[in-house]
Amino acid sequence: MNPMQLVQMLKGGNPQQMLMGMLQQQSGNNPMMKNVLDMVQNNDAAGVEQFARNLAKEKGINVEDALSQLRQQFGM
Amino acid sequence: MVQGQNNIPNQNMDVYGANNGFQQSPYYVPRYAYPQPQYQVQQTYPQQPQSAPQIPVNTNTLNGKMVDSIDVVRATDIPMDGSTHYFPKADRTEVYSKRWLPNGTTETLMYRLYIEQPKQEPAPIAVEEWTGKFETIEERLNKLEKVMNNKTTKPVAKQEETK
Repeated sequence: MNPMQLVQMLKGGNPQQMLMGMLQQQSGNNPMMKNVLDMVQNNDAAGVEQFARNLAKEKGINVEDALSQLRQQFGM
Repeated sequence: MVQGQNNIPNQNMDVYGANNGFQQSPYYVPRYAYPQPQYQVQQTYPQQPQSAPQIPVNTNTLNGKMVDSIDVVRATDIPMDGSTHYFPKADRTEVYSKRWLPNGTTETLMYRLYIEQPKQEPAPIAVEEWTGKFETIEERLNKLEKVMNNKTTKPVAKQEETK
């Protein structure tokens, strides 16, 4: 996407659509990214959370630990 | 023919000859009369930073590496673009394939070595064995024949008695 296209999109469309378009363009044929973007577009928050949990599990990350660390960092 | 003040050579003015029926303007210069200068335009563009050369994706190659066991294969070894990576075991008895699925999990398949055993054909039966089997069959047939003969003769005898 060139700067002119970006300016045109900022003028005409809404930012959410613009961002989704950019992400879709960047993801190309990546099936995982496509799935996540579809879930985001459909407001499927549970699906996105499950996706994130699956991803963390596969990468050996404990979601609860990561969340507690994040909370500590923000003083929550 | 009038020659103008500009340094136009006369031969260029008189292309059609003096008797062509109309007065040519002294400033008229036929376009084809001048040899067109051969410009060697050297366009100088600002040097753009050269990006890394794009390696063409060869679909005939397989991605992966040799491993000692499936435990060595981690999810981080596979790019999250949905492509399948293959991991042959070092002893060549198994091959693992792993890929990311759209739901954020990974799929691992295992291909195991299978060597087909040659089929053991039954040993040919010896001639003596065959003759022995024929003899037993013959004996049994003879017995059957005797039994059949006995059964067929008795009712006939009964019928004769009744007559």
